Amino acid sequence: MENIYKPYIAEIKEIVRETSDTTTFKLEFVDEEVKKSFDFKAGQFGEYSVFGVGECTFCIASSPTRKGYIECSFKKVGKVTSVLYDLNVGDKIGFRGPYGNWFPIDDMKGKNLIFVGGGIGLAPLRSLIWNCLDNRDDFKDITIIYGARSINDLVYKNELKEWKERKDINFVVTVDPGGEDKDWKGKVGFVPTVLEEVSPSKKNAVVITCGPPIMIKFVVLSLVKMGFSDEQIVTTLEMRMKCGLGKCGRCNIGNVYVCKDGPVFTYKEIKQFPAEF
Amino acid sequence: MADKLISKEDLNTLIDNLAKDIDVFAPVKKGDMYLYSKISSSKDISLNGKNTKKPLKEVFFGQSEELISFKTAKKEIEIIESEEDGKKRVIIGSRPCDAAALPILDEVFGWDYKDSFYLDKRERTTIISITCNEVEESCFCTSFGNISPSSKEGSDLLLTDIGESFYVEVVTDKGDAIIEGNSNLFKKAENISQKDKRQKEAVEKVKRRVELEGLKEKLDINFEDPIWKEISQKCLGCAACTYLCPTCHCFDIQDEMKKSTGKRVRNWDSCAFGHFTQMPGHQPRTEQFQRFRQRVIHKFKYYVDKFNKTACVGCGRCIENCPVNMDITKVIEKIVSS
Amino acid sequence: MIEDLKEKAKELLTSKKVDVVIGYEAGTYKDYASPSFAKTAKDVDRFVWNKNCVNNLAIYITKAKGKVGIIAKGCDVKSIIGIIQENQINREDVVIIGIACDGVEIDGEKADKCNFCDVHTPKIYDILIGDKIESKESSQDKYKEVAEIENKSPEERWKYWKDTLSKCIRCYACRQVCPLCYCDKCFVDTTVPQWIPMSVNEDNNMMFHMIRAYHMASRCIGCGECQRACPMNIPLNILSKKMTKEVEEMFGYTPGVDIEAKPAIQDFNKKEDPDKEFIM
Repeated sequence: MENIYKPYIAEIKEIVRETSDTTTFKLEFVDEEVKKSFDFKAGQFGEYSVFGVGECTFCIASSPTRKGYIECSFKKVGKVTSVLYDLNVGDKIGFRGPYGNWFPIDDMKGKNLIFVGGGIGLAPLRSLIWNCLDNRDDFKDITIIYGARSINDLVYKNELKEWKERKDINFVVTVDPGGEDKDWKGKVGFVPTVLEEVSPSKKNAVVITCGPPIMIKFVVLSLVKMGFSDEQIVTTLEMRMKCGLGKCGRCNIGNVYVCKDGPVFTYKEIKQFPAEF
Repeated sequence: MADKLISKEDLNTLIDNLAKDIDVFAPVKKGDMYLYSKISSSKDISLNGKNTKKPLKEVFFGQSEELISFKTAKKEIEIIESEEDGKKRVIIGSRPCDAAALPILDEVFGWDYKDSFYLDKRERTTIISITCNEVEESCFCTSFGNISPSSKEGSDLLLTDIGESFYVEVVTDKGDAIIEGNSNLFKKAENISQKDKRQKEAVEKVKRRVELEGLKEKLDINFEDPIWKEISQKCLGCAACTYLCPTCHCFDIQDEMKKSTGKRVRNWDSCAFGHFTQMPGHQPRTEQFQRFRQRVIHKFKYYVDKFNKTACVGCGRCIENCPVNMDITKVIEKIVSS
Repeated sequence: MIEDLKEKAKELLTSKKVDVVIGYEAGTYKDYASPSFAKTAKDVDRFVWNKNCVNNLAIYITKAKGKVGIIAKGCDVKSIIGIIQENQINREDVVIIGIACDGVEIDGEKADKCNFCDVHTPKIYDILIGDKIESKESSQDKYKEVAEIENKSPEERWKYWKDTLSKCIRCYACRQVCPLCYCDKCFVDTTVPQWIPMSVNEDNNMMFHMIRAYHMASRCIGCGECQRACPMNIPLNILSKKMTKEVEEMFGYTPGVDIEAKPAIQDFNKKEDPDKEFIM
């Protein structure tokens, strides 16, 4: 029987410092076979590990349409991420995955997509955004509303520029009041407020949102106010996942294991959960 | 797969024979308690003792279990897979409640991703349980329809002490294989009435009982009920109940490093602990009542919803070992009558 | 006694002097008594007082909200003194219903601590239930088991503790039941840095128990709850008593006696006492 806890070894090929505490790694699997055959879907996650320190969980932030590598973005917050953050190009880490379900991209075809992201919460959305942009004709209007506490807290800055310039995306970027400087050309305001200002149509639309729990809460309130139905709102949940395999029990909420049955859920599904996340 | 008899002397011979080639685990008296331990001789075994302090799960899902080990040298990493020894194993003298916990654990370790560490040990282990001669004041196994001091759920063979010999009921092919391999020690079954009598007596000894009717329906709707605060008030948040529970299976994975070699280990963890759900900057269960609620609902609702099994076998260890007399049967009573 | 106790408890609740009274009710396993929380006079009717009221309820006063009334034996009051000394609660926020106690039992046997009890009548209380009982000097040696271990050779001693602590399953019942273990985050739970790996083995178990013992030095009043709570029957009392003995000998300090005193571990001042060695 296969050891489900055995990670692949991946080498760090590129590092992008996103903010003062957030970084992005480009990873390639050392084993050529794995590198060639590894496949995943936007929204899935993995267990990244520093050997001798431990494992930590976050999504795959690159698009499944880009083959041969994966990217991940993480914030330096705990035991493992603090060590991970200080690694260099050429260092090797462990990766188990891909795990969990994914954004229902097939159901999104032919629809208007509205992405609403906050801070590092853009990472899972980015995987899906590029996946959609690489198959642009399959989707109708694409709106991206992204915000962070301040200019310095915005991640993927180069890509934000690229999205801004593209004619086939309606891209809106905002920072919280006080987070701007005098040269700031984007909006100033909290994400839910900006979302209401932009006021995308609910017709034939799907909203995909991810960010800090408090932002998601208010984004959902705004969407409901704007007439979106619970099924139209999709998000990804970050419970404290550990094994990724539906065994260790810590992501259990209601009768689901977030790591197996999620992390992607519609708001309709989330409403069924006990209020404990 | 006909029933058999084995004399007490021959059972000892069987154990000694088995212990020569394979790993035999049995309840052993250690100091003031009984623990499942690997034995090398039938002399070590205690078949008539009190319930073991730790449940049978430990033999399949150790408290600290190495998942992989690794060596690091400069930028290179070599992963060494933690190999199971592959030896066949027999457990002899397990209580029927402990055996009944295994099919429950099989669900979580076997659904979707297959946990090789647990399942491999399960696969190569034969379980010979014994009808309880003595029951504890904390035992409440008969509250569950399929479990009793003489139930066969999860066992491959069931022994019942009928005086000079053990009556042997064959439950599975695995159990039958033990008999086939040692057929000279087993005799044709007789004295079935004595066996039935002993089993009936054992069942009648279980005095503690809890009515589970209506519990699931209550748990389906009572997440926000203030009763959780009330019934959990005295809980101190230790893990005596969860660690000693035959069906609790939550764990954590951590790395341990010594110089350039390390290992990734899984360790029992407990929903009773605050750190269990602590994320950087976010804690969904800040208070003890939420953790206590998780334990109860996980056992009696979530597990039922997900796997159609209740994650409790009524072994009574949580009652026996709680320092503040938290009694799950009373907790259930209060919920049902709320 | 029980009628008097109930009456006083009810009075505290009906006069709203306290929000809750923590006492004992009949348990549901063996003859155990169980902690009980009374918020109304009616709840008080559940209260009992008997030989089985062994739990040290002081563990609950740092968890309770609002003003608390607490039924406390002499030994439990020692814990309350410690908690107040360490500023975890204010004296005025707790009403101590002291109880004159001539000993409690665990599974039908006199609790170890009762053999050396010097507080049959609690040191401090707001209300006393029962008549004062004089405490006599115990004829038994409180540190008998400690001496037995001390008399071992270092190798034997090492082996003894290694074997004994190897039984530990790290359920932390000892920590959770201890009224003086109130830290928000216990050293054994921190991950940055991680002092002790989670794995259960002789070394890690030993580390946990040694550090805990040191944290309890000059603070443990010997209520014995850690040992009682331990499902693996580890004789934790010996460890605590050893620390108490050392602190007594080195600093002349006994915890749980004087509410105004500064615990030895908080009172070290090299400038004032240049001759004194630090606790190590």
